[in-house]
Amino acid sequence: MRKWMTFMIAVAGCVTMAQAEVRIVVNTGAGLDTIDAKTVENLFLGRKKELPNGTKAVPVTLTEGAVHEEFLGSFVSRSSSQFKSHWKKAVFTGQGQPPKEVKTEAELIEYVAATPGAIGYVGASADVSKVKVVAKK
Amino acid sequence: MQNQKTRFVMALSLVLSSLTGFAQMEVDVHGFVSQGFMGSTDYNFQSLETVDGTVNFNEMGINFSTAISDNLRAGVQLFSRDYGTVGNNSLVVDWAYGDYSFNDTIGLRVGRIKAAMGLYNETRDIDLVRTSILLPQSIYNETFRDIQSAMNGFEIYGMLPMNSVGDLLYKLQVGYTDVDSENSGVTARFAADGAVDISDVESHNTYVGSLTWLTPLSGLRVVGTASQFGFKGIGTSTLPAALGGSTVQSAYDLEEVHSGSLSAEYMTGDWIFNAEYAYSQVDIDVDFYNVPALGFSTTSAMEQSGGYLGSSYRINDLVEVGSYYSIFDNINDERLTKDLALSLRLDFTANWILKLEGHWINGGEDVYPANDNPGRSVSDGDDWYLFAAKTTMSF
Repeated sequence: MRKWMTFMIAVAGCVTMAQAEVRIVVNTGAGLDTIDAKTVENLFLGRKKELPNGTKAVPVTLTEGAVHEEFLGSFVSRSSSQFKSHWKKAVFTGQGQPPKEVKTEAELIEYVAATPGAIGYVGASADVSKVKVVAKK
Repeated sequence: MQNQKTRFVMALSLVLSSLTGFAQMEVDVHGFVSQGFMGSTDYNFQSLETVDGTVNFNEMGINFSTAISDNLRAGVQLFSRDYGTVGNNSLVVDWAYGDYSFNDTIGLRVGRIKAAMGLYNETRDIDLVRTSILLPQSIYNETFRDIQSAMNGFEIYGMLPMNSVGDLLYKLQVGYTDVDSENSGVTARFAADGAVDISDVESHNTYVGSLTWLTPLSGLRVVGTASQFGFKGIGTSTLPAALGGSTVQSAYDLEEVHSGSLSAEYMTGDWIFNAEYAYSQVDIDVDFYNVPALGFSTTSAMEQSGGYLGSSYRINDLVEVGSYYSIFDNINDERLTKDLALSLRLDFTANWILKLEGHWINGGEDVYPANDNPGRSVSDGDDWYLFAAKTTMSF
């Protein structure tokens, strides 16, 4: 029994360690210090179009990968397929276009750094010196 | 009617292309094509010849949209559908509107807009965004899709933050429905029940109010909808020879259809759970105006309700499964129709899906006597089965 419990705790520990930290980053000119998870969800689902300070928001996402999956689960409460389905609904009812997609975290950082109002996400190992981190999970 | 639509579409396309040409704006183009098959035991399902198996079951659409400024978007979607005797692949404008967002709290859409009823009414034309082929028929009757899914008018919408108790999305819509009598489900449904040919169908004003509560529990939304709409048309039928065999004309008027619904959807991990309940009530006035012997008016009331419980689960990138149990209550006739559906969805690529679906049905609400179902003799104890397959490609 004790061995079984030790095994389960070890597995749980591995799962926890496997979860990548996600940091929400914005353009340095956005004038934001922090942002709450609900606002992040609303921005990436197109329900809100403005950052909390009134600047027009320009969300940008990664196309796929562990950081993308972790971001969707932690901040948007959706799986990757549910997120795609949400934006297909918007596209085919005329209610919006999905956020811009980039393939790598480096491209995302470059885009956010160069675009006023841009908001995106990266993992723990990304160089965030050109952008501002406003939330993490 | 078709000429008018063609001219409208051409004019809109011209305006969009002119705008994009002059202002060098980007136009997003997306589209889809679906082709299905349906077969059934015992009875033909709604307006389809399903007992023999039918492929008169398709949908296709293409849309163009552009951002004119930070706050203003415009777009149009052209749509065509075949559903047995309904649709017949006539080209319609599914939606076409300008959308001005003043801020996150309030925006305005004008033109042909999607009707915000329940969880899925706005997206019911889009097969690729759900697990099942058929949405639960107790709420989303396929025959009536053409009159329920969109209206010409305007919509005020927005989001109201409620801090610790979540957010509230609202939509207020006013408009009217452009009914193509020849291909409409209204015509098919009337003809199906009473052997009456309905023509010149026009709508009364439609009013819709929808509130979506995005609850503090992540992934849970609750939707309440109230609506009022109505239709009128001319009915033509022929009296039996024993009664002279003359033609009887009547004016049908469903002046005020009152409808309300309460819905909830919960997404967690790869699961989606959903439940909806709807109730509607209508007074139907019939005026037999051209036959002196029948020269009177009648009024009858019709009440119905329906609901379902459902769920879906994505197993991996390829496979998704789903199921729902739906009950429709024809309150006037004291008859229930039950439907248990099992769906399999396969995503071969990001742009190509295949769905397979089986239904166990008990009851006769979806059996129309005029569609080779003589006598509508389905008793409450009758079980019958429906099978559907559908593939969709999109871009």
